[in-house]
Amino acid sequence: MKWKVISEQMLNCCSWGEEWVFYNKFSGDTHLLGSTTAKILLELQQSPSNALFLVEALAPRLQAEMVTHEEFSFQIEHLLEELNTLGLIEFS
Amino acid sequence: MNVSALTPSELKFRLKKTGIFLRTGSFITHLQTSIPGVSESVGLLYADYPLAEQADFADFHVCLTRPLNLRRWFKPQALFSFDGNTIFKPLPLDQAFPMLEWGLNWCVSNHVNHCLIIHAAVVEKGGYAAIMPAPPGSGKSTLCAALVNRGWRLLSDELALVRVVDGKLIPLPRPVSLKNESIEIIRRYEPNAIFSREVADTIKGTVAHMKASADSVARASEVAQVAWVVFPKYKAGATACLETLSQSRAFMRVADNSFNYSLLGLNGFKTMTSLIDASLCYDFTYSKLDDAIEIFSALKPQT
Repeated sequence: MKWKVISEQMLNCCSWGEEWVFYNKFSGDTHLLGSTTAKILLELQQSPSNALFLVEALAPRLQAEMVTHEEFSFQIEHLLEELNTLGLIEFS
Repeated sequence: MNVSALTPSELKFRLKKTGIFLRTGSFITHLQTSIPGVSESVGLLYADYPLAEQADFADFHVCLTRPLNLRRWFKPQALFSFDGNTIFKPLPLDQAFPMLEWGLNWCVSNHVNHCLIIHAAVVEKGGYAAIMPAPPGSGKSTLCAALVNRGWRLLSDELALVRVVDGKLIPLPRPVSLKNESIEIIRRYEPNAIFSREVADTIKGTVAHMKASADSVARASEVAQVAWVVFPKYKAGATACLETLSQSRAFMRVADNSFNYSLLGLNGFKTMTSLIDASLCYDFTYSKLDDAIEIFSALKPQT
């Protein structure tokens, strides 16, 4: 099961340090996201992807060696659910 | 010609008959009223403001009247109308001038959409402006009043107007609204400050308005560059403390204090992004005004 960003044209973002602010033109909502969540969203903006692929792609960039593979996978899946709840991603 | 060019009786007569076209920063308000207390307060606090020609365009047509009913004699009231329409419930006649001030804020915050409007005080010094967004009761206006009595220029004590097209701050220097203990604090802090009569038992408690400096009024067309976003918080007995706030968190808090961020859509987001990009952001706790002034004097813009 792949996830995709609602629409590339519908999301604007800016960042300062490790925090990102995303603006959803569809809903008019603004979201403050942490670094990992923002990187998932940016990865999905490149191309639709599933949780497994995201874990493999993001683990090296997010110093995932600090946690187990299972913990990191759980974290990514949890963040995908959150992004879905916020209306920023949907099933591809 | 400024309001001060009119004698009190001329001002009263003109307000009653044709109204005056009062220029406050970028806006012209056509104001009519036959309520003597309002005429006196306008003469006192708006003395340095230019009057536009009668035939000029006015952004807001505002009228303060007394209802033509039994209330004329029993517990008299004042009504605020905008473009001929009554906007708010009437208030006791004694509160007519505060009602005018609140009504003028309403006019701007509900009708000016070429700017991102933030509920914040704005002061400027040396070409750089500090925006101070905060909810009521945080000491925002008290701090603003102290700063403008110590060399900072008043842009507004209530509404930060960030121009969408270039992110510059548009001045709206009007009287500073103070309430309850803050009135006496600022009277003692600056004995030369000019105040309107205190009005008790309003929805905000006792209120009084402090006259804006003649310099702030004369420079009302001079836009300013934002350099700092400071969230003030008065805390009795606290040592003054300026803490860095992440820009992303400041973004969300400023958006929460904006009147039209959502209304402006993507333009609101882009304007807010530019504003925060250009600003150093802080939480500021204080109890003594002198300490606050010293800390503000030491603020440096981004390099």
